[in-house]
Amino acid sequence: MGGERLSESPKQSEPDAGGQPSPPASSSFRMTDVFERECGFYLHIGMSASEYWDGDPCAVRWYRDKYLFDIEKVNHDAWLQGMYIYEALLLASPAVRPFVKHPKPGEYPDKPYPITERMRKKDTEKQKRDQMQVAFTAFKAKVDAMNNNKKRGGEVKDGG
Amino acid sequence: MAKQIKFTFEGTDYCLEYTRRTIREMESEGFNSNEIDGKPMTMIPMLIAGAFKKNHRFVNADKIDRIYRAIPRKEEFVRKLVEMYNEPLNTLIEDPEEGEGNVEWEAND
Repeated sequence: MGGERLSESPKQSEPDAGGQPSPPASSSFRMTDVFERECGFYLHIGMSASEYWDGDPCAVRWYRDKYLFDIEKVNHDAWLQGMYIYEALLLASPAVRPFVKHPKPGEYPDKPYPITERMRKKDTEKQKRDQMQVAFTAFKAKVDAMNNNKKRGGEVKDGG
Repeated sequence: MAKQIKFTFEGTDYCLEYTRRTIREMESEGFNSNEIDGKPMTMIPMLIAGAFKKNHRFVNADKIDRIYRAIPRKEEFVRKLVEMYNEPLNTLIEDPEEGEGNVEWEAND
C-alpha cells in the first residue's frame, strides 16, 4: 500500500482512450487540490495538520522517510518473530515425534538473537569473559592440585 | 529546510516564504502560477504579497509595493519566488533527496 502510495505522482496524468497520456497540468491546475488530496496520507503517517499546512514544506520528506523506516521495521519484526517461531518448532519437534522412546526437546536459546552492534559487542565480551573464567578455573584447579600434592609429599616426608 | 528570502527594509527584518496554507489562500484569491507569463501585472503582485502571508500577514499592500520597488534584480527575485512557490508541491511529488538551502537576498534601501 505504502510503496504504491509513495510512487504516485500528482503530475502523472491518466492515459486517455487512445492510450496516450493526457496533457500535463493545464491552466486550471490548482496546487490546493493536490495538497488536499495528499493531506490525509500525511496525517495518517503522523504529521499534524498544522505541520502540513503551516510548517516547513520540506517536512513531508522526513515523514515519508520515517514512514519507509516504519514499514521496514514492521517487516523486520515479522521476519524476526518468524525466525523465533521456526527455531522453537525445530527445537520442540523431537518431543512430539512418535516412535521415539525418550523424546527430548532441544533447549530454547537463553537470550534473544544479537541483532544490534551493541548486542553483538556485549556477546563477544561475555564470551571472552567466560573463556577467561574457564581458563582461570582450570589453572586454579591445577595449582590447587599441585599444592595438595606438595603438601601431601611434605606430610609423607615428615611422617617418614 | 524550506527556501526563504530574507532581507531588511527600513530597519525591519523580513523573511518571505510560502506554506501550503498560504498557497491555498492565494489560489482562493485567484492566483494561478500558470498565468504569470500571460498576466504578469496581476499575478506577480499577488505572488509577492503571498510570500508575506506566512510571517508578515499584516504588512499592507502599499508597504509591499514600496519593498518591491526597492528590490534590486527584480527578475531574479521573481524567479526565486516562483521557485519557492513551487516547493510545497515539489516536496510532495519529488524524490526526498534534493538539495536544500535558503536563498540569500539583500535589498538596497
